[in-house]
Amino acid sequence: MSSIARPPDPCLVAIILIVRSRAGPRLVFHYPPNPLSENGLRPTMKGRRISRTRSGLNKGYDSDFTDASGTTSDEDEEENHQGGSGVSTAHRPSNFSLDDASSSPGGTDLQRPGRIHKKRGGNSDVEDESGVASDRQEGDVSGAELREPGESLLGLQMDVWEKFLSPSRAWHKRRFEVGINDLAFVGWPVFVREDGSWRKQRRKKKKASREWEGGELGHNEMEDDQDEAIEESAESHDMTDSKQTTSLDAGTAPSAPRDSDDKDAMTMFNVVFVLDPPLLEYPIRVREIYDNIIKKFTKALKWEQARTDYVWGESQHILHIKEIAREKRSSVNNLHAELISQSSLAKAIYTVYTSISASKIASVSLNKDVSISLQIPPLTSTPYVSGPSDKACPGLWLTTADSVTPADDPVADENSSPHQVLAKHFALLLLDNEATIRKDIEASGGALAPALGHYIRCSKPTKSFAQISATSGISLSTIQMLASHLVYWRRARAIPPLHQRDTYIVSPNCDLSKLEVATAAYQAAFPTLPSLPKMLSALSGTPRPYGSFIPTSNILQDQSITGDQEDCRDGSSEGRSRQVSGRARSTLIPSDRGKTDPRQKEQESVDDAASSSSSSLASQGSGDETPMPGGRDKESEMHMTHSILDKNISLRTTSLILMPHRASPIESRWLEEILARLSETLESDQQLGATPNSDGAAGDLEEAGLQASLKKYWPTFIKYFNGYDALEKIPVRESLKRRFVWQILNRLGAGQQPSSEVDRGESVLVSVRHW
Amino acid sequence: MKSQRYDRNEFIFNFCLVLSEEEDFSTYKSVVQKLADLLRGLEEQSGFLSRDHSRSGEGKLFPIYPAPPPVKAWQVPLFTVRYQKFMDENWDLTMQRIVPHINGVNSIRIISILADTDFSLTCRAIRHLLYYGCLFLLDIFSFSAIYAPTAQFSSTIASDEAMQQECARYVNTTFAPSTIPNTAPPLSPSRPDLSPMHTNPPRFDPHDVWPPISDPSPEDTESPAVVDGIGIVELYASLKQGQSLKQWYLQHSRELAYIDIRRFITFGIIKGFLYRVHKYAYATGLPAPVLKSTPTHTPLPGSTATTPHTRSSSRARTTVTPNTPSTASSVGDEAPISASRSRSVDSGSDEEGEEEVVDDRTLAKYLDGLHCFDQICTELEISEKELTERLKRFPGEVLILHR
Repeated sequence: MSSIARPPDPCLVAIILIVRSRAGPRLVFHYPPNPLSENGLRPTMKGRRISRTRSGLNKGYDSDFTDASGTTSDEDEEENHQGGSGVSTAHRPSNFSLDDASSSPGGTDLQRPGRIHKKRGGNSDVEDESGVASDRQEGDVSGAELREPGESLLGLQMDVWEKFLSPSRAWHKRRFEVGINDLAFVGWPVFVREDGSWRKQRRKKKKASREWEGGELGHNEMEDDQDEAIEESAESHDMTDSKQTTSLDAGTAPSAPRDSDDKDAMTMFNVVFVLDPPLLEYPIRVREIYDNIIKKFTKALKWEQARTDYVWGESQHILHIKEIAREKRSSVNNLHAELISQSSLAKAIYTVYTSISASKIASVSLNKDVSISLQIPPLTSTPYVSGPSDKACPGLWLTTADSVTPADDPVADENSSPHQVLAKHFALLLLDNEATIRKDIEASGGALAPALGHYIRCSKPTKSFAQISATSGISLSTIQMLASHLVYWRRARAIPPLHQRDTYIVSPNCDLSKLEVATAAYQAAFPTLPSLPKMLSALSGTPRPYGSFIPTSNILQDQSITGDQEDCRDGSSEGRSRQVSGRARSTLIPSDRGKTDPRQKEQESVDDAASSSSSSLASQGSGDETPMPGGRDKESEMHMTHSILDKNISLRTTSLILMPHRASPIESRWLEEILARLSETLESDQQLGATPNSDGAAGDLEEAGLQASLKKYWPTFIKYFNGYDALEKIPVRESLKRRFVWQILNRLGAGQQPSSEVDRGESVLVSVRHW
Repeated sequence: MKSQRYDRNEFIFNFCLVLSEEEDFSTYKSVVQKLADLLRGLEEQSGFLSRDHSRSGEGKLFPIYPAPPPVKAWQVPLFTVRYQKFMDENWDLTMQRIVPHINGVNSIRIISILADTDFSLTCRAIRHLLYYGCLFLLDIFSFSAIYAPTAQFSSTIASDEAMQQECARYVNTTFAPSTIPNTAPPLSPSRPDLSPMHTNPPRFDPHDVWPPISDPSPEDTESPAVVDGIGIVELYASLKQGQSLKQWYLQHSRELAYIDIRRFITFGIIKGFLYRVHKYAYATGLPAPVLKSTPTHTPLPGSTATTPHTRSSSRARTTVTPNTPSTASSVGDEAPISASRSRSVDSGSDEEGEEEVVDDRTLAKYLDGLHCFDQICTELEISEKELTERLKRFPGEVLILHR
């Protein structure tokens, strides 16, 4: 896992459709009309640029007040580095920035994707290279409205692109990738088969339907190369859809008409995505969009091409409209608007472009039978707080809840990838309100809809999948499948179940810039609760169990937890659906257990009494009273020590048993010793009638039971004492009462309260609560 | 290249490097460009390519690092290397002037003041150093600051005995680094090509690195108690949200007696297992609650919220020395702290005389929850205590958020 959380950045500059027929390759359609130009219809890009520029200006000092051209900050940084090379070391590749400045500004610039630069870079290099590029570049861009359609694109004539982007048959269904300066052109070209058809005839029902099952439902998540298990379970639903399509298929007699009645026929099509990934992220970004978008989208087109000659038909339609437009001399933007309204393929490309470049889910429908949902799955969480020198990604859910920990069965590391099977101890937090999601699901129709609807009704963020399965009668595997579906499609997030007794804090990664919007949303959703800023302010203190913030009658509890849920949603959601996202980012509170307390490292520090490292057991006597202090000094005597691992460490020091469930023989003896000593202490406490723990209100009676419980659960608990598993997991996973578990844990010194003096001496755990 | 000397009046060449797919090609881009330029030049001069001579050239790959984000006035740089080793008179003037003031204590703003350099140039210089991994950015250290463990805690300090020892060497004031490099502890993630790190020479017996505990209290004097590796872990684990360093110090003063607290915190930040919990103020736009205990805080019913902490802790900044006898007494490099601090305090107290040096309009701009206290204090040139006091007089409800 990369240590840096990268904000989503689709790097999408344009999409180009190239088809080749006997008449030669044609650039049929591209979107946006004027890529990389300022007035292009590129919401995201613009947003991005603006924000970058603005941030530069805000901080006045690094953007050096250059002219207002908008390229300032980038250029600045560049100089910045150039200067740096001179100043600090010789390490800087010197000709790097010089070249940049002279021939392709911003071109090789580290990782700032200066949009504008790129455009210029592209142009100038092109000129250098081939001379093809017109001098009217600038004119093209600025005077786009008036320009004749179709002349040039990204600084090159259309016919250059046509040749350039139509590869030979060797690239059939392979990754086609070409770089020009800093733009990457990536596609997945598809060629007609020798026999003139677009797919193998045999097994076509099954095969073909599978190919892009990617999601006509709009909620169907599976990718073919992913997660077998879920795919299996989604099978039934796929089948329904495929039946639908295949029956149509049979009726249409696929490629027959095309071959015969048309003088010309398509032999290849290539949907080329133009990307401008930052240099350092190039492989990741290209891979992301290739796997998730390019391949899937093209597969869907191929499927439809095979079935109804879709791509060729639409292409001819588009070319025809263009022809007319040329005669009428309509403007590029008008032409594009017309194409988008008249051709479903143009519209599909438009939709993919606008949604994907905004990091949203693209719901594309090619025609009434076929629709598909595409997305680059966003990063949903990170275990790292960003430091001052990292790129921040505010609002991203900060958690370690989905990391694999030693207590997980090493074989089944179920959580390793977010859309794989979700562990049964997780709960589902919807990122939008239930009614909205249900409505969307119903609207999308689809085979999963009823099951999803039912499940959403049963689901509670406070109950784990296993618990819900038990109460609702839905099988666990179905729940996991449905839940991962919702998670994948950004409608929900898997979290450790919320609980009032757990501790929540304001996430360090919380995006407070959304606070205002979130406050309003929160107010609307929970009118009876204190305002969101107040809640956050209250959660800003020393971490305490959530329940302690709201004096709770039971009635309130429910509500408050829900409120919490809201918070959680906010915090983390990366902006799922947009309404959610509003609130979502804002507040992140969820520090929940997962985070906050989590990992307690309850490591055991074993201590031991006696002395020598190994012989210690013998000298128990002295140890006794200062028994196990995992820690500390006061026991000063020799006991504490045991540094089991290093014989040379002096006995005065303590050490931890990091992996109690895989303790070495010596460590095991220490563990036994600890247990024995604990029992003794308990016993004596009892005799004295002293309740050392202040929290033992109900205590005395329970104290008696405690000893037995301790013995009984010690072996169970011990595997969680490894520094990676949150103590909050124990009650959930072992199906024990929280209060009971905490009694034992407190006894072991893992208390949430600063332990009292008595505890200190007996504490055998070091616990830490991290964000 | 067009020229009469070619048969067809033109010569085209394309020099290709073949790399495997997994290879990160970014570093080769400059090589390719350089080669193209070089070959073009050679061809122009002597027909190098068209005549097929052979010659050799040299090239070197330079790794490309991500550009560091803009630096902020309230960030505190700390060298991860000894700049003296590679600084020479050819360095940029600004750089030469600021470098001596980079000590892990001075914020960038303070550095530019002390060095008398232009602020934006200072920022640039700092970014250069950051780019090459020579610096680490910290926050402004003060006893009112709050630190808490991150998720990396278990995988680093808690389980790594070598790190515990390294920490002990770094923070143990009995080693009183009289000469004390203000460098950071060896940084694991530092760039390989530039880390002639200092490490304290292994002159310490591994058993002796542990800082002693202050009071040779009761019984056993025979073996002086020390803060051992686990002790260090526990100290770090006891840092938490909502608790200022001062409060933490008071609870653990015995163990901390021979520990340089600033270095202790710095160590955790650098190793990534601690983070600073920043405070933000948010004006809700509602009228200030009247008779509540504190105007700045409106705890929920039944909650104690954070008021007490913020309040009491805000004092710390101006009274560092009294609070930390140990650090003051022990550490050689403590001097800069007091120096810089007194400076900021001075400027603060100057202003304190007149009421409302900062008018409400100015202040209001900072109360959107996006400006941390460090930033507000730095930009308004007031101390945190003054800020807290000032917030109480702000017309309207102001909530303090920590994150």
